[in-house]
Amino acid sequence: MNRKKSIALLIVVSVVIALLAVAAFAQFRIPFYKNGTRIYQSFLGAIELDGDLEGSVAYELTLKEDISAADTGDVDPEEVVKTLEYRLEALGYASSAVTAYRESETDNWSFRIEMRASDTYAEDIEVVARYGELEFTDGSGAYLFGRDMVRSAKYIAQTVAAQTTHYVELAFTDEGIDELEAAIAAVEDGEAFTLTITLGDTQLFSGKLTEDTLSQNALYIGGENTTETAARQLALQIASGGLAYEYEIGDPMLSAPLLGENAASLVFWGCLAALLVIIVAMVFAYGGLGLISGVTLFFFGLMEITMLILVPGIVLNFAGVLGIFAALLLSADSLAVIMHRVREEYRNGKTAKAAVKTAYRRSWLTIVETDAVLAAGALLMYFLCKGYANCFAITFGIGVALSALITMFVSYLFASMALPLFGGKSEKFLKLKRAEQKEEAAEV
Amino acid sequence: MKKFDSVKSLKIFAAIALAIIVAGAFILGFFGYNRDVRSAAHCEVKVSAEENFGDVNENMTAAAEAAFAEYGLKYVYKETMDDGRAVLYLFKGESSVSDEAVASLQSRLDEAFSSSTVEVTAARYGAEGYADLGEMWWALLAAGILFVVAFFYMALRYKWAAAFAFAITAAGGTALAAMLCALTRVVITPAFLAVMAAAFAFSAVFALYFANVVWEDKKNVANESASAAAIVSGAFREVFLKTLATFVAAVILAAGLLLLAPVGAKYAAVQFIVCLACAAAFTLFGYGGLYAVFAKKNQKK
Repeated sequence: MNRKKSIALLIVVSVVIALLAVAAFAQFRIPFYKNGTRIYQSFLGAIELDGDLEGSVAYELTLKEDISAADTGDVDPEEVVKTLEYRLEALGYASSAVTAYRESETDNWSFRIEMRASDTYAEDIEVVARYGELEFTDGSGAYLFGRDMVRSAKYIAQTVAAQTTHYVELAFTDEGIDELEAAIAAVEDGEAFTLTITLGDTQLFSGKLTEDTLSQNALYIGGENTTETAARQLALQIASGGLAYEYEIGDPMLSAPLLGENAASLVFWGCLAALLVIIVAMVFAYGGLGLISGVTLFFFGLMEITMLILVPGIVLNFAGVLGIFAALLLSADSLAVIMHRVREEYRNGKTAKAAVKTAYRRSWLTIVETDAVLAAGALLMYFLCKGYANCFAITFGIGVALSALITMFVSYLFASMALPLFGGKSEKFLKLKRAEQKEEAAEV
Repeated sequence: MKKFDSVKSLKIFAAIALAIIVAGAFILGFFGYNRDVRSAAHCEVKVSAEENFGDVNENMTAAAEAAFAEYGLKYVYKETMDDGRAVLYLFKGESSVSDEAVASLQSRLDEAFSSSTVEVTAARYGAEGYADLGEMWWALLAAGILFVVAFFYMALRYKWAAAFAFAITAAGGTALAAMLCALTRVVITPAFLAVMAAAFAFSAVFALYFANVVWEDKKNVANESASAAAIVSGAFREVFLKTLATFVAAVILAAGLLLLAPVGAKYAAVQFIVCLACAAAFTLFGYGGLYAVFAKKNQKK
């Protein structure tokens, strides 16, 4: 690469990094979409945070007073906790906490739910605590069938020409579909069949159906006017049914983040300060090589923030921050391998340009094999663990993939770009020394 | 310059590591981890007023704390909530606050304020509270599968001696970190599982790098007749410098949290430093010696 090309590339790279930095840290009026919602914040501000970083809301669910403890002897608190946890997780509250408690052995069990204070927590808690039997009825209110005829209820999103519509795919058993078709057929000509789905006292859905609406034993509910939250809530309620008893939902108790006041901003400033110190230390120890590695680490940080926005469904908790932490450290580790090898190659007689090229070629397998093992670990953790560990697996997994790409390709680009800029002084810039120079320095 | 004797250092390090692991396991078996109050059995006492008193709120807090002192109760966490209308106190142990203490507190507050204004409620939580470490078993399963896959990869690429040394280093580094956290009574927060995963990851990262450097040195014609122990000693300096650089970076990152972040994150930062130190120590003083021992055995066969 000649000097002119190098300067042109430097300008392009600087603009890209500056744009990413502005998008990451500054609020702007141009909206971008996340989960179908327009967001005007900076990338950093738009990251969804969990209760430990941004505050949480706690609810207490107590049985309706007219039900005595003797009548609810069959309530297994562990089962209720599991059901509530399943529902919370399905609605995106991955690291929420559900605890069963009671004042004495003769009292009914109550449940305390701690969840992050999302925009829709008040609606979501209603869905989580819903009780009763799931019933499918026709327009006149006549019972058709119950939950046993439902094979599955899934949320699906369909995007056509940048327009996303949200549905619930409701699959029935063969028996269920026969019942439904018979009910539709029984309706007199000219009249439409109305299907109503209720859960306990709550009507979940009511709409007109024809036989054409059913496709391959499935019914699609939703469309243009259905929001993602509503479709997810509906799918969950049909799939998991209701609790056995009605619980009264207490007033929400909003509390500060579990980690303490201003946890998110303090953790962010702590990480940023540490990153800057690492960059300075790298420059001090490795000169120009350290500067290249430092810029690479900064770029890695920006890309990780961008990925937290681009990958849907990430709710960042402190374990997730530790995942980013570990991935950042892995990048620093990979860059240390490369920097050390550049020095070694130069010491053994290669030119600065050749030393950089050989060092990257030699480090390729070392870095890729390490990253592959860790990526496999993150993938396993993602599938096997939930809650806190799951968020770590997501951010660490993304970080490992980014680390492999950025340390091998982006840092190489930076190094190849920097060398022509310094011409004959590149050795000095990179703080490289021949073996004999080193020995002389040691003797002095 | 005197070369590092990896086999000799292995013996000393193994004795120290084993002592820490046994002592840590002993403490863990008898007392368990020093869990953050919310992830252990605890009692929450909430003192709430119907409206925000302003200055009177301080009197409410003082009255509550005087009542706790009378019953010898020490809270471990205090939080003002509901726009200053309520104060939440957390006590260790499910039955740490008796009904009698709660009733006494209520009557004290009734005397100090109009009876309808201030209310005291107590809720008791069992050990399966927020962020139960039960997830640990799933994380262990994930680590176990990865461990087996990585072991066979090492055996294929770097031969059996390296694979066995890697396996002991990765498992040992993680176990040492887990037991050192138990022994030093570091406060365990819900992020502990993530820190342990990082300990395992970095034990593997450091050991893989050591294996790679040894492998490259072995291919060097100058080392054709050198013993495994000599090659390991020759590779030590490079591995030491790189591991030290990564460890320093980890300490800087953790220091950022220790200096600026809130208390809960500080605990995780301490755990993080402990874990990285264990992973680095097990690699530097364990992997090389283990590899030399296994390679020597293979040669004899």
